[in-house]
Amino acid sequence: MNRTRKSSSTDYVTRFVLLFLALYALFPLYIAVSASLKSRADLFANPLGLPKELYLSNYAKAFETGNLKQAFFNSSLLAAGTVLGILLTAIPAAYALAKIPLKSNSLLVGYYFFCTTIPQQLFIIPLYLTFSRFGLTNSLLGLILIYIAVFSPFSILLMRSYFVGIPNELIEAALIDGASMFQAFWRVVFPVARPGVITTVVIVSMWSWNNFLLPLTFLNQEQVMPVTVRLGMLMGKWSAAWELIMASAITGALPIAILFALLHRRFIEGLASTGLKG
Amino acid sequence: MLPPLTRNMRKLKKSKKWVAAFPFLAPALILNIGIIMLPSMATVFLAFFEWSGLDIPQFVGIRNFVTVFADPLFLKSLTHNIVWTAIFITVPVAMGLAGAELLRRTRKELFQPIYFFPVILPVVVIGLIWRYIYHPTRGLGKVFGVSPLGQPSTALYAIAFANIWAWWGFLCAVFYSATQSISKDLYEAVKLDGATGWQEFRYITLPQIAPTLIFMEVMTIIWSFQVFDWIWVTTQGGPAGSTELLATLLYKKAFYAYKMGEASAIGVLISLFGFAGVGLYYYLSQKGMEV
Repeated sequence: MNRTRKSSSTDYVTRFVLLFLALYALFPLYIAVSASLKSRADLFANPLGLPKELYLSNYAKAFETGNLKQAFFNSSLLAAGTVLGILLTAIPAAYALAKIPLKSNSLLVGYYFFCTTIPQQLFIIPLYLTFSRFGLTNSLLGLILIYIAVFSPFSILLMRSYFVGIPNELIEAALIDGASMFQAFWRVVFPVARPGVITTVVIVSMWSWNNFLLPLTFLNQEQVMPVTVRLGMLMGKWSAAWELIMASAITGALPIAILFALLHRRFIEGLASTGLKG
Repeated sequence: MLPPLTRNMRKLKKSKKWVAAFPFLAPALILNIGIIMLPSMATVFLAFFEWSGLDIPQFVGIRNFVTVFADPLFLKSLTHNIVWTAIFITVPVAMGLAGAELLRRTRKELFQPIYFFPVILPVVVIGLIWRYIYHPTRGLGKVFGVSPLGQPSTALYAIAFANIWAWWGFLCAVFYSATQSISKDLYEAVKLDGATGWQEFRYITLPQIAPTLIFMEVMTIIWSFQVFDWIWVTTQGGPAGSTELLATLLYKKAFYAYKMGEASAIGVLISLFGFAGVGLYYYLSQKGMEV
């Protein structure tokens, strides 16, 4: 008796803590969303409360005067190009590392793991000087190449862990049936490894959308700037118009937020897997 | 035609395997070496030269390192990085462990995406949100009459607080997923012995997820010396250098002052701290295995 009562009271404490942590996670988002929907006068008079009237026009205004349209186009192009490049280069590499038994495989796996710990600050200086010599700065293609190189170690390691689990017999059977290697990959390997590929795609899209240091360094003309760098400049432009700044910040995060709403399991599993190496 | 990728591969000669594997491995590897490895190595060389990026590099030996270490701003930045590391190997890790343990007990997995959501937001967006929250005449700053980012004594902690908000959910997810592979029998056994919740955590969860915990601590040390975005989108190192970190100092030296040699020296030092972190990881995990 005593014990069940005790455990139910700790149960309440547990639930309270979980709920408190959720409120902590949501509160700054509430502040930002409510600020983005207020008139400037309302915002000034009442920074924490709900908006008196919904000023959805803040969003249109922010999008228009912040020139976010071009930035959205650039960020989308960067994400699409990077995802495509990762699919074309990292899938074959992950497949070979999982299925072609070479002695140097573990060396390469170690190399790619090592790459995930290299700070971007270590390579941007010579890379910037080289890229500017070859006209690859202020070029979305140039940045896409960098993104592919920077994100591929993670992508290869993640997808490899999915390919390793596919039995060789499955591939063999397809080959005996007369499938070409590409067909065997497409029909047998890919369907089994699809969760890993989708996880890679969503995480790479997020990273290329969110990255700040690399576009800040390699793209400094407005017509090629992605959303993140553009948002970073808005503070100077609208130093007091916080309702517009919040509206554009939320707009800038929206594509990733929507992707997360649809595929949060993939995000969480994929990113959490980076911590499970021990 | 490529040989089939099957068990028969094992019988192939080593050279033939290489021929089969090369087209698969080469594109990613060439891009990676060209864009990450070679420039990283070039930075290590550049650290021993004086160069504006335009003129001819002059070999100066270890002078860049001497200059850098004699610079009070560098030492200040290094101290900030150490403070930052100390905060991040403790506070968000404790929060992540608490969240993961409570999620494990209650299996209320619906909280997980809520905790995780800030993790996936662009840092620049989070920076803008917290600049608003901290603003002295707006947001919470107005309500409490403070300016956390405006004062040298609080600015670094204010940024760390915002970063923790967007970081602990990641650790919580990592630790929670590590707890999922712990055998339920272990918990049943100690429950029969009348263990309290704290004892369950201390004697089952914690030792079982120790490898993951150590790994995350080491990665945290590596990442803490690379922090750039968080500073750049909030204070850019100010006020009065109170939030300058090694990475922001490097950026200013390279792209504002055109001192490529000194910047490279800082880049090398940032990486050395990272390697020290990896070394610490191997040392600790080896020690853990002996015990």
